[in-house]
Amino acid sequence: MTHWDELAIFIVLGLLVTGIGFAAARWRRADLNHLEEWGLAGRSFGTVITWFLLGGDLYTAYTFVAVPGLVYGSGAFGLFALPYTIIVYPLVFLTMPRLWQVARNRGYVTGADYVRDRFDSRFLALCIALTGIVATMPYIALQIFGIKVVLANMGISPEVALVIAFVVLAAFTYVSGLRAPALIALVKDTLIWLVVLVAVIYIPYKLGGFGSIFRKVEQAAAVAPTGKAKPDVLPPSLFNGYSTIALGSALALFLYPHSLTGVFSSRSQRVLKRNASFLPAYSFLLGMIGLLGFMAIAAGIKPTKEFGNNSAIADLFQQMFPTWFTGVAFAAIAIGALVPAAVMSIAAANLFSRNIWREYVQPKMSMRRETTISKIASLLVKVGALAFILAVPTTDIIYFQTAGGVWMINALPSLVLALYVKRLDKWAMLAGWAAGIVIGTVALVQEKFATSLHDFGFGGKIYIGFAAIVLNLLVVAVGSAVAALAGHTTRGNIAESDYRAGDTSDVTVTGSTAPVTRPAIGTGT
Amino acid sequence: MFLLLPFVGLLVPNFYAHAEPRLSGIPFFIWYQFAWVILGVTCTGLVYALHGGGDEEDRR
Repeated sequence: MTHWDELAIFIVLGLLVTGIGFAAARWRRADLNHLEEWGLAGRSFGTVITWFLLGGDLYTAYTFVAVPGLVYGSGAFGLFALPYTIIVYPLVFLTMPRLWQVARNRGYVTGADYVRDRFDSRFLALCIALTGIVATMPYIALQIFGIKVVLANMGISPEVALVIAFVVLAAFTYVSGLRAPALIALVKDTLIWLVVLVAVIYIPYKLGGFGSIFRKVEQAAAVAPTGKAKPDVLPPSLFNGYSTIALGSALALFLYPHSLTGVFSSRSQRVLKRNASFLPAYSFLLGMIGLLGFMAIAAGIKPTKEFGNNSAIADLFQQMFPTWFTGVAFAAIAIGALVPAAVMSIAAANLFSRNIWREYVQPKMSMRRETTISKIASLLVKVGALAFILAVPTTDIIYFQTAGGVWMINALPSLVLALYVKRLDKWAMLAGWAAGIVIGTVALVQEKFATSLHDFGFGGKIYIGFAAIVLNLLVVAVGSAVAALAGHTTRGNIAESDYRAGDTSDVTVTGSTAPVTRPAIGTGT
Repeated sequence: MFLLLPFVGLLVPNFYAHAEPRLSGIPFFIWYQFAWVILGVTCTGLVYALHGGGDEEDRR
């Protein structure tokens, strides 16, 4: 059954966003043939835009579908999203301003740019770039999955509508670059906050209040067969799994290429610190969205055959809201998918043009050509993700996301530890990365990619990514110590002064990593 | 250091995985974590306010 009134509102909001996407090319007008303009919006974003962009980028449509889906499917464990997105900000506050500064001083567009320079190793940079691309691709696919869930719920054929949505997305990303998702994020957030605030007031009102919701959840858990219960309080068997997945996910989040793109596009360290202080407001939103999963249990929503638990939230809205508001809610989810999908494709494309194409195919290309390669790569990334979502059964897609985090976390030593510890050996970094990827992948295969928890023989079931990063760091530490004893040192191209804010007016924004004439560093300390 | 507090408060679920005391019917496990969103903002906000986040400052 097609819900025409929902669809009408959905289409109107969709057209609005498309218009904004194209108009964004004229916003803060600059030469979009320059990769730092197309891909980082000229590193010009202030506190407010960065807040919306990072918020829109990190709290994705998939999050809005999957977090309540997970709570709905497994109960309290799904709420790990709360500690995860709370503890991530102290980490960001401490580390990202320093990474931003060196990227600004040296003209880096990607995280791998930094790795290349820091360790003077284009191969290590390639590994980090590939990790980023491979982890991001399924993430983009999941955004499309989010759109697919709501489209199917409105009763229209998702295939055709998805292709239309993606042609639109691809076109405005190609034309406007990072400016498009930054502007659209304003619309997205307004809608999402509106929908969620209405939902957490209106739905409990219809279900007889929070007390009644949790009573129903607890009654259902009490009569459920063992292993199928969905408790509203975490059972002790999952304590270690809960804390390791929260910590591990927090460590991985800002290593993702799309997070770094958001970080690099901001104007100053101060902007980043302010954002690290106030972005947790979104976690409140995310937690409330998680509670919708409990509401779906209390409302007696049944999982669907095609989407499993992930349709819980769409079904809940459909059942609770008047149709016109369901249209608004679904549009919010779909627009919520476009913002991160655009940023992710830009980030993956920059990795491709900077750290693969320039490095291995065409070292001496002009910045205009580099930007063109990026634009084309961003199209290919999206086509790939779309093909993926149309071909692979939807129930299998979520597992790739699980794997993405497990792989991505292995970039931690090269991107963050390297900011602080001087004596790291590049071969040790490479070995640690490989060890982490291998053990993570092996454990994922043993779990058939169905869960991100695995029993490694200590502490019960823990997050696979956590085990991977522990091993990775061990190898890095031991390897670097051995290298130091053997008298082998890795010399990078970065001086300590490159980490400091200086007289930035001298920075030549050339759009190329190497060779970059080192800017004259002022006296600022 | 204020920035460490959220880790202590959240990474040991043994301390907070209880149903009681409830807050208007919401189990402790849930409202405790929501409370930490606000505490977390307070911690980072406080550090920002104290250290000013001056652009020239180089924190290690």
